[in-house]
Amino acid sequence: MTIDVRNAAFSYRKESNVFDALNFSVSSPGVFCLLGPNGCGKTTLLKCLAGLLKLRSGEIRLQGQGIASLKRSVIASIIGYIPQEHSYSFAYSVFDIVLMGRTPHLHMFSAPSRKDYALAAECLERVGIAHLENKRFTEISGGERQLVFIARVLVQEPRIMLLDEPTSHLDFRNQTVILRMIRKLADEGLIIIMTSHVPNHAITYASHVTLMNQGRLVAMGKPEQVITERNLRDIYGIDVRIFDVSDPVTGEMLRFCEPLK
Amino acid sequence: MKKHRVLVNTLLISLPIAAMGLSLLFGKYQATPRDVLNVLLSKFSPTSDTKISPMLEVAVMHVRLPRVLLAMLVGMSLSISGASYQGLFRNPLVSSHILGVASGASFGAALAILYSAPQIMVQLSAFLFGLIAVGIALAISSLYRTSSTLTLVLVGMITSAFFSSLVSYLTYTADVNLKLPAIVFWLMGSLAGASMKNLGFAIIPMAAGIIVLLAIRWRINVLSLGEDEAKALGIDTRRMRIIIVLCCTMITSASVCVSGVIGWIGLIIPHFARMLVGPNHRALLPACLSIGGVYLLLVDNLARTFTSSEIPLGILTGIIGAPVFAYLLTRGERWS
Repeated sequence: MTIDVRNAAFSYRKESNVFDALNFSVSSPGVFCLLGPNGCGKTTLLKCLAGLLKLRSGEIRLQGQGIASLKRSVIASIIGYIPQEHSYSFAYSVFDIVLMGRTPHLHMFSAPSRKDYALAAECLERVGIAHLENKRFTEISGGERQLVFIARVLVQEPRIMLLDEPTSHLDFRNQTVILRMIRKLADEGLIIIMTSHVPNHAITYASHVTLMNQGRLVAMGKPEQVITERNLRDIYGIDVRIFDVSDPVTGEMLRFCEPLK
Repeated sequence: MKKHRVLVNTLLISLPIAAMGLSLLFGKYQATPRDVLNVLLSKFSPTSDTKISPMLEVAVMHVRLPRVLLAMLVGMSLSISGASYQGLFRNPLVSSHILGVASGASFGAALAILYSAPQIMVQLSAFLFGLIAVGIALAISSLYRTSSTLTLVLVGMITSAFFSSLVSYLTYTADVNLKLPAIVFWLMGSLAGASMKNLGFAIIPMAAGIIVLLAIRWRINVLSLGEDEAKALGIDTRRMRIIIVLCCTMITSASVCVSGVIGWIGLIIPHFARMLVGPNHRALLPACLSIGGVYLLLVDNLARTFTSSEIPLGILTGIIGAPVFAYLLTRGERWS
């Protein structure tokens, strides 16, 4: 599976482009992290990749086919998308929400079958929240909700998963739980494209990082090539130091960055 | 949990049948359960030799039966379209009349009454103007570049207000002795005019709309997650929206044209049903059919037997509906 972005530009209004002349391509499994300051166009780009917004010019191709010409159900069977915010008017059960991931594979007039139920149960198991299946969505924590959405995407059986800041609003532990889960799914063969505000998350979990600033791609490559003191200063406008330390207990090498005082 | 579900399902299936049977017994003409049963059976086996008085037969077959069936149908229609709209608009406070069907149909009926049209023309005119009002709402909303559900609700309010003003104008100019009472009585809603002919007229659009809504009810769940999520899950949200609006309009327009404007049903029955079976539309829509039908049937029994003259149905559903809704809200609204 290849997702190809060619000369993509997008604007909500005529005068100013949110992003412009973007070119990149992702074709092998891994975690692809889009890093950049607030308002740089990450979320908009992700929505375009999901086919929710139409480019002003340029093209996004899935396996050579323009995404604009594909049917919704076809896109949804290739791409799963987890938005940043959810506001549900009805308190569906966790199981029902996960089951809704089967929609792209169902005929207009049909409802999920026994097989679909089994798959939903399996995916809940896979992300470790089988015990929540009868809980109402409004009753569970933010971290659990994010796992529910990941399970729903798995039920969708896509090749690509898009996540918009999957760790925002999550506590210290849940951030790690979610990121490890994402890493695991990428290792199992999923192409994952996510946005993030935390360079350290990209350093630890991403296989590939793209820095975005003011609607442009500034740098692309492996985390260690892209997340440099200089690049971070350029896009965030603050001085940052990168530390390489060895874990005093295990001897394992760790890298992280920290703004300078 | 399982036991509870079985019990609820049994009730939802058996209650409508029991309520319809019981309702055939109520009325000015005294009839025992045996009499009623005999009349019904004689229709199935014309050779049966039990003597049936013609008065009894008229009372049961031509007065009560069509009215009971129509009450069920209208109750079912208003509740299922209310529940579908609440899902589509992601808002538990909208009802079947949100897009202006009721005011459009009211205008159509008032106009026909004003021109002394026969009853069938009044109904036809109500049906057509119900469709026209929603058609206008859809047409205006498609002019906006962002054709979201919110735009549709706002435009629905606009067409509603417009047709309500026209209705006010017609009632204002109507002849106080001849036309006004007929218009006002129609606007308050009643099933007093129920007949087999009415039933035959209304049942086709109602059944068609209900069947389609039932067929797509699982997708209404996905739609209720919001526009972006529904699209990301592979739903053509625009097409689904149009299908739901068309079905609901056909159903409500048909019920308004045989019963006048009956409020509250499309708002409170879905809430009540949600408390019983949860928010999943796969269970919710069938539950609404059952509860809505029974509810309107019982209220209509009151309307036709409580006092010596008929009480307009719309008044009763409002008087009963308001406190019931207030009570439901205090129950904590577990599912929405």
